[in-house]
Amino acid sequence: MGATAAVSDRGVFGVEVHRPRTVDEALHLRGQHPDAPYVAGGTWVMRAPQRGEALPAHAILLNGVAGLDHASIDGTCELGALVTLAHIAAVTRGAGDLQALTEASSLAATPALRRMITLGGSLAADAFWASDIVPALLCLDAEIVRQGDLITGVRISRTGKASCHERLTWRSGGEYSVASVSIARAGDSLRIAIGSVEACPRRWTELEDAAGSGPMTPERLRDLARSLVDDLDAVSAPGIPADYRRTVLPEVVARATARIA
Amino acid sequence: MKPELVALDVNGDVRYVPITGLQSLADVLRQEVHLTSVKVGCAEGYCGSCTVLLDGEPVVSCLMPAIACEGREVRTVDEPGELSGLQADLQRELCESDAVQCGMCIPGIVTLMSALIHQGEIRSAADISPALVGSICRCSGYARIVDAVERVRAAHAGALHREGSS
Repeated sequence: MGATAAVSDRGVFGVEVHRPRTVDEALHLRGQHPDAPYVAGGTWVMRAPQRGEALPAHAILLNGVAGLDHASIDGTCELGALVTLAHIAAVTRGAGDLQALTEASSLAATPALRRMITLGGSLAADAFWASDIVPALLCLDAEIVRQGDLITGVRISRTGKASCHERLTWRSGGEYSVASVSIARAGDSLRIAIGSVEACPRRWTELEDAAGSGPMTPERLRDLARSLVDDLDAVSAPGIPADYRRTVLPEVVARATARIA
Repeated sequence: MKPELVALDVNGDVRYVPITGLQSLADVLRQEVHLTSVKVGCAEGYCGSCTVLLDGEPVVSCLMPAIACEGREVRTVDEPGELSGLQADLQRELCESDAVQCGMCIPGIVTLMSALIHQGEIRSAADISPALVGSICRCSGYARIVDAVERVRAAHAGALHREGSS
């Protein structure tokens, strides 16, 4: 019973759940309860106690909201906020320009979690430093689509040539990465994003600028990355000090570059 | 917070169960439906012992708000449904190959593996270990589990291939 009791704490019982059917209803409820988080797959909000955070008094459950589960890559890539990582991986598989998205969504977390974690939840998770999907979206220059304060999906112009997502982990998966790099090649230039290094994933524009339109070889990108890592505000975690992340990041950059060169 | 009576389709039986707030599906299945095959290990989504099928997809029920499952099909290892042959064979093979020790992880592994084999995500022996990254077993060392799953996958491969191409 001990393990079950951990789930059945008063926290989850104390949340008043609202279940809108439309985006307008969801926005109206948010107006009434400004501190209520939107809940999609549930994997972020349900783990609030494990992060040392209190569960909210109100929550707005989105799984019944119509029109947020579309997924299409014809012409423009359009993904609704309720699309899961597993669905993203399935719908983008085989599209070379979107490969960073395919790999990020098929390598993050675990098979069961990938069927729960949604695109919208991944974007709304507050400062989730180890996200894989966010660096992939950043390197693809994805546009977040909103109605009011609700993320309803993303749109990606398919102008790139190739992309990939490289992540360094202790094991093959099922864990946060030590460092991840998403790279997209568009013409002569690269868009590079990093995750699991700083407090929040971001485009590594300093490296993009340094790379310019010069040769995109793994060796050159590794050397450029090495010259810039000391400026990164890397995070420490048990077993993974900040210096280690800075040390391995250039190698992850080189591996990713080699795959799209 | 007052509980809400919600219709859940659990293993083919629709029943009204009281659900309060963001109470997890694992908790409702254990406490209200009395399906203790749904094990709660880590309670944060990483051990996989609470894995059930929701509309045919494996999910960790400890992080799934039960209220979000209204009107959807919940399947546990207790009632195999359309995957009965696969799930039954997995259970039998795991037992007969002495792959079950404390048993805490097994219902989740059976549920997950049956779904992934059925969906074609596990197509060879090499696919099994990566698919188990979210199923923590601290007893067995995995070797017998992987071997047992592979024997069942291979035995069902022909039937699933015919099903997929029909």
